[in-house]
Amino acid sequence: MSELNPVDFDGEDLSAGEYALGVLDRAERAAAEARMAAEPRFAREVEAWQERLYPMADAVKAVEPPAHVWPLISRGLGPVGAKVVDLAQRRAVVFLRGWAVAASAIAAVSLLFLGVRPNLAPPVVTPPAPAAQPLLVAELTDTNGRGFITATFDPATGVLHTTPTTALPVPKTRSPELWLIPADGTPRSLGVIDTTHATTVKVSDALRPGAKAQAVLAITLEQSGGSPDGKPHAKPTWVGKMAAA
Amino acid sequence: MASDSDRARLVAALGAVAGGDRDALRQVYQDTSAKLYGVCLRILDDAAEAEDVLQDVYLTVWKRAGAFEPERGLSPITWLVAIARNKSIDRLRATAKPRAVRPIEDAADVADDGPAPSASVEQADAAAALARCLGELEPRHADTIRTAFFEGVTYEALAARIGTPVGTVKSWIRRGLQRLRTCLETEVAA
Repeated sequence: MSELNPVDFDGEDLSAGEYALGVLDRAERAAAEARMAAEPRFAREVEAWQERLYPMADAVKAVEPPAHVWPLISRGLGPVGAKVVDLAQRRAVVFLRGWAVAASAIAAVSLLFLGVRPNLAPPVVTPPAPAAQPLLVAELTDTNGRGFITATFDPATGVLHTTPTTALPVPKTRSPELWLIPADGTPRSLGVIDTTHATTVKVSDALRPGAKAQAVLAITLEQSGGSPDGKPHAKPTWVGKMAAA
Repeated sequence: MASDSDRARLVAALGAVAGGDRDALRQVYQDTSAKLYGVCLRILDDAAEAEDVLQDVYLTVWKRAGAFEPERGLSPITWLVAIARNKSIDRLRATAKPRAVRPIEDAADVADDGPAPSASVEQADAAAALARCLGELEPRHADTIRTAFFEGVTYEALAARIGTPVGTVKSWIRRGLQRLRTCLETEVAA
């Protein structure tokens, strides 16, 4: 587990404690939250740290909130008996928002896929390793709006996790294949993944330098077992851009 | 001081909230909003922001109460404080408003006159054990941990505040966290 942590301390991963304490910056928090979603053990570690540290809240002075706050909350609950409807509406909003992002991302990436080039790109030059390599996070959105897949990549270890928001089954005759599209625009296969569960992928040393901010991750539905020739044969179903965490 | 039945009451209320019981949410609000508002206010240092976040906190409780699983052992107040702190910290990071510089020693100054009305015996014990263990740390390690907790600031902000390199602050906090855990394990075993 600690192998995924970019900031080891005495070889120990304390990022669960750091998240619970609240010292991480915005991107680090996002990365920790992605891990909580992907790794139940990490999520439990965060809870254990919350149990340890949050009794400190006993020392925080209790302050009665102004009287107008509760009516605002109450109004926000929606009409009586509408809790389920409210949740459904929220999901619809998330879906539409996700779709808009996916549509534009897919439009851009489809161009790359339509003109699939043979793998003649020059080898990617390895940049000098920065002192601390932050995790990279990508949210792969889906044109069908069925939900997205979060990918977190640790440049230090080459380990990439994919986590679907919910089980996203694909037709039995198809295998979802994950592609890395670095700056040169050529999709490189990272292998077949499982879109119904969290999956761990080890990115080969040769491909690691291309896995950086702005690189695109895409998932296509290939023939069973994955693309036979290392090239995608379908338009991507899920697409997202990697961003430094 | 209130009794442990408060914890059971809060657990039961959250269970009812998960089932869509608005009165139960009202009860959770009455029992916990002063503490959670205090937590938000301490982090955000701005009443309007804190009120706004507090609304979001209870709307989140309304929607996510089903995700609270008391059988896993997490205390309900910890679960609620986690929501309040996370929402406040996310807001703080998003606005990145420079806050008034406050000497780090002030962190110890926030102690309430007594235990919060909703604090159970168990919670007070946990707070006492934590205070003892913080007391065993090097003072500057304990101070940075307290400030980080109360104000929800990043390593970078802490480092800038006390004029110490970020790497040093990180090592203080990480070492402090490790020792705190060991100490608390001993406390529990004792």
